[in-house]
Amino acid sequence: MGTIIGQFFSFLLLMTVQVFFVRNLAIYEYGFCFVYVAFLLLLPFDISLVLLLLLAFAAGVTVDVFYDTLGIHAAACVLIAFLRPYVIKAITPRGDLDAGMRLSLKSMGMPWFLSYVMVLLFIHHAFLFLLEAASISLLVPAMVKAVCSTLFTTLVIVILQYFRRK
Amino acid sequence: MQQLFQFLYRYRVFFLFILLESVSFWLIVKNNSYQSAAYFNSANYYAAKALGVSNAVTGYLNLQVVNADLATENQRLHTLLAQAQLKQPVMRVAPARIDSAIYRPDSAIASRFSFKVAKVINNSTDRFKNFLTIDKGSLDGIRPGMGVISATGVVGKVKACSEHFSTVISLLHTDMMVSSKVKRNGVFGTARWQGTKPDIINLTYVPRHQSVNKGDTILTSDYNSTFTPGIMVGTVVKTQLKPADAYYEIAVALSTNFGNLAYVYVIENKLLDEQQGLENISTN
Repeated sequence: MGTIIGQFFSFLLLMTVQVFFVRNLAIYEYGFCFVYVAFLLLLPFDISLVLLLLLAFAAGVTVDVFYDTLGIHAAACVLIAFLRPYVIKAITPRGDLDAGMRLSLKSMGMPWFLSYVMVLLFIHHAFLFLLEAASISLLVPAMVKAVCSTLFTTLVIVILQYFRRK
Repeated sequence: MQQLFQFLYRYRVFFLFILLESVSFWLIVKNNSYQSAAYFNSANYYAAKALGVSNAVTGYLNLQVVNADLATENQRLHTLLAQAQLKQPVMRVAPARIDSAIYRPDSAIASRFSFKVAKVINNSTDRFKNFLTIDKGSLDGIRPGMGVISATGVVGKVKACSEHFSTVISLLHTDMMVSSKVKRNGVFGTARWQGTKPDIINLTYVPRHQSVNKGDTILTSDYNSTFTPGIMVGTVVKTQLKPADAYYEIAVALSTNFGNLAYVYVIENKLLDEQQGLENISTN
């Protein structure tokens, strides 16, 4: 029960930060910060997948309302929520995950955490920018944006990991 | 039947994934349609209120630039007013002669545009499709399709309205097109953003037999039902004409700095319905 309330507050906190502080933050028009995705990435790995998909959709729609991009963030979030278990399986050595284990920098180690976050963030951002561009002529700028934003958001998420309690 | 349910249950995650993605794409398509309802965007009452509070805090940061822009605009308007007043007595000398000799628009045509001031509470410049949110809505007489300008030039077009707020398609939106003309010689073109640099817009469909020079001023054209004619768009910074192309490639530096928009004017064209109704009849 405690973790559910904790998750709820981390959702509220990340959404507030996303919508009011980093929404219009852009490094040279290419590097964006979508720190709210951390909420989906850091949910316990044994969470029900149905619940994960629904949470991803809700998070995406919430951000979409403030970004005026209805559906785009939702689609990208649902995609990474669906792919998340496969990515975890692919990059984790067999038998390394114990039930109830948290997907954090501390418990998983830097190499695992970085590859996990960067792979899913890149999928999210690439899908997001391609959907937004909706044209082949903007393919290159969209991919540049995706790569820059992945690096930027990963950095922010890693820094945030050092501020967690415990 | 039971097997069917078992099958659905076993692959429930996949089916839910497909369902949610379909809903998302349906929302994207629906939202892309030119005019839409204002529930799930930033004109939504609660979203807009939250953005307004956030803007109240950050709005002070570029107040100086905004004041300078408004002062410049006041100066320009005073000049125009003085000119208009000077012209007035001339018109009174021989109205009959002017009536017949020169075209004078009907008073309903001349006063068809009216302006409303609104404050920008949310704005973006660095996405491919940028929007603004303003703090006036349907209760203030704002309707989807109205043009939006600032003290320095064209800003965009209203997309959706709630009672107190509206979202505006920014000129920095890859689907937004504005009928424009070159001030010097009246050559027509369409201004459209290419999606990358927030201070440069392209002027397209200017045929190769026309002349466009670097430094030319680009204004909204008279073929516009959204904007009043002669609103500043920008200044030509680069023209290019490849041997095989039918049209120029023209880069225009925008006169409006979209990074620090604060106050905008929404243009109402009182005869828009009449004009569009007529045009629809003639095209059908």
